Amino acid sequence: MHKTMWRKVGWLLTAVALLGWVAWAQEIKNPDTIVEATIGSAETCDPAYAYDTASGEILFNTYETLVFWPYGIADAKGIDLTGMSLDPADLQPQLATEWTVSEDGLTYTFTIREGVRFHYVGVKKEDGTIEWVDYDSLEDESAIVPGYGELTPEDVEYSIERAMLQDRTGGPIWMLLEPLTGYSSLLDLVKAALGKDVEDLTTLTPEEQAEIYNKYIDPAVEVEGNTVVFHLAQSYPPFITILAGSWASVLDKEWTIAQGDWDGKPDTWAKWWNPGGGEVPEKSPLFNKVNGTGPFKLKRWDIGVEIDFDRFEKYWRGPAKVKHVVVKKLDEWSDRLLLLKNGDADIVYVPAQYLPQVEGLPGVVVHDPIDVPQVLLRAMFFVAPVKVEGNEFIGEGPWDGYGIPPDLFADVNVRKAFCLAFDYDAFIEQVLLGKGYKIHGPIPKAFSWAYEEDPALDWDYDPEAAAELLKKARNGELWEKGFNLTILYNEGNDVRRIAAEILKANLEAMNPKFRVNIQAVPWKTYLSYLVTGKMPLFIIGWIADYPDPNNFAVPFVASYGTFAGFQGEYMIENIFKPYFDPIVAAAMATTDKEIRGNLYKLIARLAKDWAVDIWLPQRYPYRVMRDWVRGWPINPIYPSPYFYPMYKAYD
Amino acid sequence: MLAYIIRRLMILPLVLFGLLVVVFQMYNLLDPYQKLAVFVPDVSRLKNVDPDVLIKEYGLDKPWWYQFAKWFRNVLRGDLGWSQTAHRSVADAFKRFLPQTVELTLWASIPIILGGIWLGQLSAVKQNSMVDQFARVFAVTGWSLPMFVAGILGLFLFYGLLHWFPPGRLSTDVGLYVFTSGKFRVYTGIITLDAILNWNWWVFADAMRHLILPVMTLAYVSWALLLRVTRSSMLETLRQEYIMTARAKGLPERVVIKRHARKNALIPVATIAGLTIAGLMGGLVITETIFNLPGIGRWAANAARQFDMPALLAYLLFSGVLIVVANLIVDILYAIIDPRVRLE
Repeated sequence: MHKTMWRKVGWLLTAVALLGWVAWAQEIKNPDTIVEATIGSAETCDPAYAYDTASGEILFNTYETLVFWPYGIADAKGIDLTGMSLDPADLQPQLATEWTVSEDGLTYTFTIREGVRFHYVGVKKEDGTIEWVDYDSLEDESAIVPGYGELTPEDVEYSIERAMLQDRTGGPIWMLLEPLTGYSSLLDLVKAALGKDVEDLTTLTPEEQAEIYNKYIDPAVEVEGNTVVFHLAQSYPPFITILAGSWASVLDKEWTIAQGDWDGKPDTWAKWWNPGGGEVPEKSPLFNKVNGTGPFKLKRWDIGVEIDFDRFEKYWRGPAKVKHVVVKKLDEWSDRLLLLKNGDADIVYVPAQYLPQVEGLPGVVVHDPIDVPQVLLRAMFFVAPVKVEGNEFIGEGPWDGYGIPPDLFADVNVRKAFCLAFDYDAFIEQVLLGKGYKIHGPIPKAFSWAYEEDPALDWDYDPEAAAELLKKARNGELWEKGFNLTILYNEGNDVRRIAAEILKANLEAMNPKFRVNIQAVPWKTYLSYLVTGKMPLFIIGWIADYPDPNNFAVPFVASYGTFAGFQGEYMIENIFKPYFDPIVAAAMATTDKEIRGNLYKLIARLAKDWAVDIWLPQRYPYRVMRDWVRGWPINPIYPSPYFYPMYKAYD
Repeated sequence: MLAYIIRRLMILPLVLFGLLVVVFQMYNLLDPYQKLAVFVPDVSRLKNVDPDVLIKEYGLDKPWWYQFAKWFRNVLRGDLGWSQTAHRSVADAFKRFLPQTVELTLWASIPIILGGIWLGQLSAVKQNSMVDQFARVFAVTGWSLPMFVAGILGLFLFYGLLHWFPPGRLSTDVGLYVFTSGKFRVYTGIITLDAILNWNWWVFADAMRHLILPVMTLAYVSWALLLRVTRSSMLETLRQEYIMTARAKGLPERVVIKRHARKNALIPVATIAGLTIAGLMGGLVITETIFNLPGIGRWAANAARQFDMPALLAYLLFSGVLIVVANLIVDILYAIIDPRVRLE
């Protein structure tokens, strides 16, 4: 009897403990708040200035654009990619309700949505001045001064023109200037228009400013009734995709002027050109201020620490499902891991090498891989010739087997041999943990219409073929004398380190006279070697600004592109200019998708023939979240989570 | 005494100037291209730009003294430059990060000083006993344990397993209440102090919950030094004749220790304690990084990692001022506590 009683008590206690554990496990922490723990710090809240992912996260959730990319869902319940698309034909209306494109592709007309309000609206005070108040707390709608916080076509026109006139150095506005004016920077436009060499646009006279504005900027974007019309200076097929980026966010003209920004006059804009020389974002009046039409209001931006959003209760599509969003910047992986494990963070940034630590954690869902090709690329770039003067990577004096000949990679056999000496499968296994795919050429697989699924175009690891080519290089001299090649990577970048190690192991196994040194340097030093053209081989990646093959073809294979431009005189003059530039230009001269697709496929073939780079395999994306996360949108072009449809529940 | 203080204060600018010249010389070892990279936030800035033009524009090819003078002139104007890692001006970054560092230092100094002195005194009074051995082993273990190991172990145990003390400054809901609800007034940026001023014990308790682990980690790794100094000083004092006299007079041991021995034994401890706290203030790099506390230390760590030169120069200026001022305060205190110093 006694024993039975104790047994019963034991069972009861176990049941209570189990129920307690289940209740704890089922309890959703902060149910009204999405908490994201990530790395990276936003640079600015000014849409025309921002060109980094972290700033994009603020803009993406607070401002809106004319059109928007449709998304799928990859949340704790499962993955549904049916709604997701990167095809411009599938772009969704956002602040525009509809649009038309002229036959020649040079005129885009957008009808602007009516009845949309910004987070803050202007009301007249008793003394006649305008006060900006939170629209959510405003009870009397009629108190709003017309146009002050109400979306109008003039707001759209002002936003785009302001962005083009601000054009900060190193910023994103080249994407608007190129199609709308034919110049990739305002400085170039002014130089050409005024026919004089000017470096500082703030020195322009009011007359010169008015001339530039009236001739180039104003005609590019016009208001006609309830529509906004864009007049392109040249054929630019991806133009509409550019309008879905944060740089094309729509501001309230009156509010922006009230913050001390450009007053909208033709002859005053130069004062706001290139704030802070492109390096001091706080010089922009919108540096830390936000007033958008998007689903969240920026409540607090503690730079480099935390971003707090409150939902916009009167959002035109209805309020978001959660009241708050908190984005915590946590550089330490152990902190992010523990926050996720304890349920204090809902979604966290997990570097791929740490995925095994979160797989199988109770209450944590990992989707890996998600079958969505990414719109980013990583490559090893050959430089020919490298800079000789003061270059510690090529050895002293004439090449004698120590160091490398400066024009080592001018020989296509050497470049091909290096492409064949890289073990792509090992890279997929070691770096991408078996969840990657090979790519060929500068066009990502995500653009299926411009990407040829032909395994023959992929490079495969083939040491024998590589050795044969190296024996032929420089009339056999290279094989005879050997080389001592230095590959640099920026400290902490394990992907680049392992890529270099794979190449080193394979080259050194081929011929004992081939030696490869791998050196870690701080990022800034890496950058300085890149600029000066001292590195014989550099590794770098590129994330799409807008989802179009042109955004990859230009930086990778156009002679004027960001990376190709660092690949040395030989590569630029003998390969990029004659073979690639005409095709890149031809692909932009037509809006015919099929023709464009074929031209980009041709670029990939040429990239293989000329072995311009070693294309590093790409990883499929993955996601890590608490099991209560619902409605997490997915589209590879999104800079960060779009919180509007997200919520927390066990449904 | 006043003349002594003035004399010390006059040396301060010279010391700082010397420090800055040395630091600037280190920066000057870079070639102009490397210097350019220091100022360029990312590769996109270099698109279609001739690096030589930028080098000329920034004056990076000019002699070091010219560059130093240019920077120093801005410092005197209060313009310390733009920190690429803090994404704000250096002055603004100090304003933002200093309260966290001050808060952590202040709270950490309580257990460090009281605990260190208590342990040292205990060890001395119970010399060579089990208590003495245990206290010394305990403190030396902390001293030899790297800060990042102690911090991460603490975090995994007390947050990962027990869910007691989370990293960061405040819990999500409390943070939203403090910073976005408009119901909490931030006076100083030192959350525990602001919570008291707002008479809000919920916020105070949450802030303390987040501080306990970093504070105890700091205390644990700092106790050994204070323990050893207090112990040896106390042992020396206990052997003095006036202590024997006090004992011979029949005073209880408690009174002998507290009234006669401890007071005098603490004179050298004051120096060590002062410098330990000043050192903490300037060097919370690891603690703030591990526990994700947005203070000066975490910022300095990021700045060093990314070669954020304006931030690094300003941080060195700050630590230099701190150490020099702390030395001065300790010296003054020393003179007050020990009249012999004053007379010399």
